[in-house]
Amino acid sequence: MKLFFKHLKNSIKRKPIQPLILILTLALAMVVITACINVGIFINGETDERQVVEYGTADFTVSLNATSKSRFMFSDKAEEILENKAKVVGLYDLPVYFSQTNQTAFGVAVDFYDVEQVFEFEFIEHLPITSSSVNESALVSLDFAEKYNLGLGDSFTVNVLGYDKTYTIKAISKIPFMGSYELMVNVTGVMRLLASDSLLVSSLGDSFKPSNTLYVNVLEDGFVNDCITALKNDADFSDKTFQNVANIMEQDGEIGPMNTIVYVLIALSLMLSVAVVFCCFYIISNERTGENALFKALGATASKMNLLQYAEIGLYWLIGAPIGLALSIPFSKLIYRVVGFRYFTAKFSPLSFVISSALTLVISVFTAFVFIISERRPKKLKKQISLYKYTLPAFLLTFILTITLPVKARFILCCISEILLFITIFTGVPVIFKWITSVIDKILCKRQIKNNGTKVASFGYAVKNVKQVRVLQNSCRLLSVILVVIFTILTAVNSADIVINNYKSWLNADFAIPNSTASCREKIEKLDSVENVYSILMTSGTINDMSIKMLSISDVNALSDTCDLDRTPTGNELFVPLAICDRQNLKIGDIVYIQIGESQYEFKVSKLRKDNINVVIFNSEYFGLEYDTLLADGVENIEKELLRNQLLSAIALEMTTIVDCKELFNRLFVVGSLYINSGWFILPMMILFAVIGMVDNVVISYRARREEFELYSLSGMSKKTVRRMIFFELLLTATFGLVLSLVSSLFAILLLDNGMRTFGYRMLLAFGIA
Amino acid sequence: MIQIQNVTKSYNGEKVLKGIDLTFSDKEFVSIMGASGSGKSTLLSIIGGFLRPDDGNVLWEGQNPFDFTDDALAGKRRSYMGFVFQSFKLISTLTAKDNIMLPVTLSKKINNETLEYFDFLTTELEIKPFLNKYPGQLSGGQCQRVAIARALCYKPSVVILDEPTGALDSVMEVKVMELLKRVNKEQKTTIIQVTHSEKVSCYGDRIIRLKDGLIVK
Ligand SMILES: Nc1ncnc2c1ncn2[C@@H]1O[C@H](COP(=O)(O)OP(=O)(O)OP(=O)(O)O)[C@@H](O)[C@H]1O
Ligand SMILES: [Mg+2]
Repeated sequence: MKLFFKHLKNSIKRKPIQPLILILTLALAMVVITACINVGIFINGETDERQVVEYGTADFTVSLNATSKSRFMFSDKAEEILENKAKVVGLYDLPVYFSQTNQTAFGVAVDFYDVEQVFEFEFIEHLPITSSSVNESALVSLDFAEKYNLGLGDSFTVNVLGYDKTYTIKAISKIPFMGSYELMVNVTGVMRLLASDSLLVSSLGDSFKPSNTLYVNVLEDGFVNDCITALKNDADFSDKTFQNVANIMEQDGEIGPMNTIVYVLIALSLMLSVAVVFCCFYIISNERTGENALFKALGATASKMNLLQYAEIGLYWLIGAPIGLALSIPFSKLIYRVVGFRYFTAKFSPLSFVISSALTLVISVFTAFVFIISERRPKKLKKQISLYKYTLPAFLLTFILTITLPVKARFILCCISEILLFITIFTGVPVIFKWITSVIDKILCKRQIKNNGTKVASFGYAVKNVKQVRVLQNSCRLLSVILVVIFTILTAVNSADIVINNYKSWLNADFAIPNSTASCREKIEKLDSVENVYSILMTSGTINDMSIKMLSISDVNALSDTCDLDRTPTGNELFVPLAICDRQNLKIGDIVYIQIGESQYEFKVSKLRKDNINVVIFNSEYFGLEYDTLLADGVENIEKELLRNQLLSAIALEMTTIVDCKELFNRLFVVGSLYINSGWFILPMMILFAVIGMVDNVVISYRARREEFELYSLSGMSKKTVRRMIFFELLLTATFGLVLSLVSSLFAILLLDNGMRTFGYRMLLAFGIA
Repeated sequence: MIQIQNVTKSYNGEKVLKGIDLTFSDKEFVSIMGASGSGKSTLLSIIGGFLRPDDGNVLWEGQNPFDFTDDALAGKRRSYMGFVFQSFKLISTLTAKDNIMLPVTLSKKINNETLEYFDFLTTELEIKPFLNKYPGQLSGGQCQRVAIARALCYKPSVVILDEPTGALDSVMEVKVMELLKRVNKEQKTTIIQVTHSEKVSCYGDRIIRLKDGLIVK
């Protein structure tokens, strides 16, 4: 036994570079796997934490919608109806405007004494708030304080609903309130501003506390639905939208798929790590196979040799794993920083380290196992190597099924099919590569005889080598796998990025004013700085239990080119984006029923929109629903802040706010960018890892083939020709790897596109491919 | 003409060659004999320009191969010298045919004449049946014949063979030696071979015996 380990020690000593590279590869794989798992953990944690921050302990929310007659709700009224079985907190959206700097901040007005019944806040520092100062106190986020260079106790003057008001900062919170508001003020103070202008407000006094959204925390479990029913039965709430917090993630149309994309990326990264480690081990094992056979010929038992092989790989893992772990911690911290998680505090779960250690160990042992099997039962290896013979038809079958079956079933099929594709590439590429180079070799040989050998020798021998040398075919396989993974990730992340950008620019206007009364519209239209005013209605409806966003516009120009639209719908026409058509299985001419508020409306699908804006467009006028928001588009080249100033002064008495259109979907962007940042982080990391893996692979294989090149020199090949031959070998490997991976990527991307349709996301639409 | 002047070589302090002086004139057929481990292969490697001696000179037609650049040496080797290694050293990724044609292709000498000669050699050495096999699929003797064909095929001025018949049966042994003799006579090729067999050594014009790193007369 001692002898064998001495042999192992000596073979490592003789060629120390290969094990070193392998250990490095293992360590890097570990870093990548840990990083990916951590991204998953972070995103999950972030989602949970975000829910806590955004909804507190609320079980459901009540908000305004298009059919709501009253523009306000009152939390104490709701609490009364629910007979104190629930705590209700009201939020009143309140953008504030800094006249000096022309900047807008997003604020919220709440009842300071009520709000803590549902929400919990964590302040970095705070001052006491007395009942006399409560209406002049502002709680701000750290971002806000830094942006406007304000500190605890500082005062600032802002324009609120058209009135100037001075607030003093009494507390600074690390994160925005409810996840999106930069400052929080007491609602009574705001209402007092309006008291002089509104008879109603002044007569009601401090008990007038309107809200746009109510957050209801049901005190006893199991009564959520009872509470919703109780509220719906009241005339004041019957026309409002109720949302169960438990279902909220589902309602975030774009966020579900992006979450899935990140998990797909993580899965792909794992596969890539497996491929890189396997391919690097492959070369060493390949070399050892001959030696081991010799040992066996001299009487060493098979089990001893197997043990030796496991011992070798285990040794590399024992050295590589701690290095990988040591590198993983700072690397995971870096991801946390770069991606910009806001609510989740990075906790490095030992689980990720355990999983990555275990995974790399499994990969290592598996590699050793494959080679042991191949030595013992060559036939079995042949079966493994020609696994593609079974996976290729299986892949084609699942591929066809994925693109033909109803979208609901596609995601699972897509995953299975992607794995089959991966195995096919892994086992098939070397074979295809060998086959193609054999053909080239044959052609070259024929030409050579004809041309009397004037052909460049280096290329001819490069072809012959590629045809015969397994490590080169192995490199080709690794390259293909790497490129397929990278192309797929690149497409997915890029598509998500484009979609988010589309959302930022799909409204063809500068500002949105959530008040569409005729008087307000008139005032805006009078402004010289405003070129166009559009009326829109943004609401949500339910179609076969699926919640969808709905939009009605007064003019087709209200939407930019991002939206595939050439006219506004007339009558009960419904313009549906492809992704929703997919999920609901809709065709042009279909009749669909959509629940908006309490009523059901009949629509006729009359256009399938080829854009990525997951909002159906309808004609609200036909159904007697009124527009609820005005869009103001400034004249060309007008400064945005100037426009905002003019709008603010024009509609000061309309009791409304002005929202930058770009910020309208702010919440979506914040969450979306989280996923996209993760994607953009994983991608270069994968590329880096892949490049290192590929270089490792090439270096190891050339070290393993050094003797062979020497033989060429001994046969009279000049160093230059040898170098050129190596160059051609690499060129051939790279070219075929690229071509094969391009073909495979096409399938992989098509598959993912189809799989993502299950979540109502059309990945390729972002690139204009319908 | 190849001259070896006062060549010494030691491995790890152990002297293997202790001052060898030799001259091989053109068209000569020389056999070198000696006990196993006496340094024959080492001497051939030095003559072939693969191994640098510790001391002394090697001259090919008056030029020292160790003064050449790597590429010039490779070029010179292609036209001047054929070498059959004791361990054959066939390239595992090339078929028997490709192995034989490698030096010819490299020196861009493929013409009808060399193709005919290739045909002749492969017939004489009975290689034809396994021309398209890879070295890993050949027997020791088959490999040896391929190695001999590879060394002869491009008609170098000097052919050096390290135990060319070590792996062959007696019938084949005679055939190879007859072939070498013929090449020596017809093409005026200098042949230097190492052998353990007295019978094989007799084909040479001259026998050199090596003992303890020195030449014994
Ligand atoms: N690369 C090397 N490193 C160390 N010692 C070597 C090396 N090559 C040869 N030797 C030693 O040099 C001596 C001569 O070796 P060489 O191969 O020249 O013998 P040989 O006469 O060809 O023997 P054989 O008839 O068995 O082939 C031997 O003792 C051998 O152990
Ligand atoms: Mg020898």
